[in-house]
Amino acid sequence: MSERRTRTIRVPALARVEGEGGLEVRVSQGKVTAVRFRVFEPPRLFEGFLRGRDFREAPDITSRICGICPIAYQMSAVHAMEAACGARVDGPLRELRRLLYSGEWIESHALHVVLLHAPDFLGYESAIAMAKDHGTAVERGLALKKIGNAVVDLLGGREIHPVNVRVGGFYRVPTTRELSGLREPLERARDLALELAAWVSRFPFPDFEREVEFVALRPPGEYPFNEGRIASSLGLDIAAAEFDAHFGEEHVRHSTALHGFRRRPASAGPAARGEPEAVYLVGPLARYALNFDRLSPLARETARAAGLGPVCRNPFQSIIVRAVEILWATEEALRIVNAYEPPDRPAVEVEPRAATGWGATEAPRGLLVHGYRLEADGSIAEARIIPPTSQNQRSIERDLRAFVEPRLDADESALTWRCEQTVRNYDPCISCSTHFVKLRIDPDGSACRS
Amino acid sequence: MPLVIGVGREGRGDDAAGLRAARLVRALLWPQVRMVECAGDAPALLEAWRDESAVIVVDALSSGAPPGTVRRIDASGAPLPAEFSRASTHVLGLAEAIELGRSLGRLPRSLVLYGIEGRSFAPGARLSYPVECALREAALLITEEILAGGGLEPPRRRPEETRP
Repeated sequence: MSERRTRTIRVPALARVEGEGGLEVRVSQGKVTAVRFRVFEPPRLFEGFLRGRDFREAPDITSRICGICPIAYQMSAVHAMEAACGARVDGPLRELRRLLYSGEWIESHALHVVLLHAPDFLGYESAIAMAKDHGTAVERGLALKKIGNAVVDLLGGREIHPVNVRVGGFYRVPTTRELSGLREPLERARDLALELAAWVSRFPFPDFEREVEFVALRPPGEYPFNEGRIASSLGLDIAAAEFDAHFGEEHVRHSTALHGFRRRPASAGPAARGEPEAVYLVGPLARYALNFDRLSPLARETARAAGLGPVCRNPFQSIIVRAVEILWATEEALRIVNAYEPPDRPAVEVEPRAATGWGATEAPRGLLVHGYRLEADGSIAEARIIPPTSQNQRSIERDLRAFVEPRLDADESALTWRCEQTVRNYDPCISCSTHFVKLRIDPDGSACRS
Repeated sequence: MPLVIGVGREGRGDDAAGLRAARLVRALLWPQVRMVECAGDAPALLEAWRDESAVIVVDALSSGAPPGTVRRIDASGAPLPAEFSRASTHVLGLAEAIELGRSLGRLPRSLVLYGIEGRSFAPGARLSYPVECALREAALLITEEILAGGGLEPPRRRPEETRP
């Protein structure tokens, strides 16, 4: 027993997450003394690459940060550029952007829910092992991902690193006939999402709730994709341009990704009391809690049937929220497909000017903020990219600490498993958080560039 | 006639080796060969070979062998060697696709993998010289294999022995 109360849980390289990271939890005398969500890949310095490039290149360059959520990068980039240049994209072009984002949510969430996260709950080491017993569920996830990919392929020009998004709109917009081809697959996706939500709702969930400040976009009258003010469960209500005044980033030794934190005002509410660090949470739980009333009736009903109230504070149940968001995304996509009338032109003209612009959109993993300062000729003087996984790193570490401490007597492998699962609750995109390159891990645990 | 799947991504150095080799096979055998390109994520691969009975996949490898080494592996019977699993730049890659396919009963009856050992997978890098040479060798081996009776008989030359 004493051994268990002084030990180190170490996962050198996390499986089933995007990118390269590990974790370490040190325990001494029955207390957790250190928690480190280790990110050990060097930065790819995309902000540096962007300097001096033309503002129109930002969506294509930043989409290369991630193969899982390139649309999020393109959308935050174009909104920031349009804000800087004083342009506004409305009507069918705005709807097409929401449709494109729907596709990314569907495919990204389906991959995570079914192939990466579900095995944790059902006791399998991987989706491959799970598929032998839960083949129908895995096929369902694959089918959803395929439909999400089809949306991205049609609107983005290709599935991976799409090329059809531009500042002001698109290079080419689909015909009504092309878009109507998505109707039947999306209707099928809606049915699959309902089945998926019912399936994940039956998983066993640890009794674990956390008080944390939720931060997400909250646009008027719709569930957030591309637009909206940044809101929080503690009453924050700011424009994307005010992000730096309320949030910060800092470097810590064990992570090459910056750690996001909330600059907390003196008037912070009860959730902040006793917190040594100003932690906040972005992602599905935050989005859902701040926008439950913006979900469709069917999505709200499905959430309730799955056992969720309007706020979910159990990070393990984020898998249910993702399933609900898949359902909502299929409904939103169908609404747009059914009402589509092609725009007069594929993009509005955007003239550069010397200005600063910020854009915030909701990547599948949470709030993604871009900020740019442009010269008068449209060249990028400065770039800031704040991805969701950077913002969530402190929250991940706090979850690990809170989850492990009352369970120190658990079996070593079971506790290690749960720690990994705790990280996977966030669907962390480690490549995004540091804009990483791939590393090789040597047997002694050290990391070096391959 | 088997379906040829080229796996990889442009702009990531030798990660494009599989794509380039598959394109070369298509050029050599056009219009008699079917070829698709795939970035390498497992769901897309499973979809690419859905309902196919014979498939040849060509992809870059990172196993520690000399750059440019070409390996041929029959993947229809047994799991891939471990080096294929961590070689992928993708969350669930080729090795996972094959094992998922095996679990789900969605594996082609015949599945052959050609792996081209890469040297650099750095973003923005070009193909390295040994890989440029090796992908041509791989394309010729695949072409020979396809021509050998439409089939999947092993080629006359042993690719395991090839070096750039």
